[in-house]
Amino acid sequence: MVADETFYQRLKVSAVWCVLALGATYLYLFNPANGAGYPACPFRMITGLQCPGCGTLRGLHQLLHGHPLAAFKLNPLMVISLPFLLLVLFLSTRTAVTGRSQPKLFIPAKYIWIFLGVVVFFWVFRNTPLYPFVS
Amino acid sequence: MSQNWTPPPPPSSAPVNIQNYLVFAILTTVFCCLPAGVVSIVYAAQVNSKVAAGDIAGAMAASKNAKLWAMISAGVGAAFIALYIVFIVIMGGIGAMNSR
Repeated sequence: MVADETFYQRLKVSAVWCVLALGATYLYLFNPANGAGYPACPFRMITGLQCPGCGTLRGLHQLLHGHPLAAFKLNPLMVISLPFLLLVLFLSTRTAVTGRSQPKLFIPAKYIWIFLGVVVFFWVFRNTPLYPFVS
Repeated sequence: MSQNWTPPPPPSSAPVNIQNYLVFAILTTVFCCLPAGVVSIVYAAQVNSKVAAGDIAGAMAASKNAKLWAMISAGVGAAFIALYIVFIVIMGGIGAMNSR
């Protein structure tokens, strides 16, 4: 890996970790369920319906407090996609620390299409009376 | 002479890295902003299926769209949040003036 590229990667990864640390601290201390200065979801505000991301901040607050089940009830999609995002973060951090470029993670298109299907299904399903959780 | 020449290796299933912005698509759809991120997921899937099929030009075009839609989702979401904050501040100001 070129020196410039390594520097850029380290800068990027450090910035992400800083934002994460600040965000997690704020989220841990202030529960979005009580308002606490968090913005509302634009889609929900305009349509009155829930979007695939509704409940994510409240769910993250629950996760940080060690309540995975409560988080899952608020937004199962967030809990499901978190491991993938953490894996990408881990791989980028490893690249930044070692300074050696790693083989890129290539997700077969099939799995992305499946994920898209899950997102759309969840978006519709959570707005029907059949959906078991309240968020 | 010609017998010594070896043909270049055939392209593997994923020969080039074309950014599919899947992480940004997921972040803008599930973790914030607007459901416009869903469109970004569609293009992210297109990037990877076109890369696998060897359609590099098509994959690059899909990559551009994946980035564009993630940015639209993030940008509109950020604009909305900014407006929301302005609205709260104005309402707070009106409330303060009325209470005097």
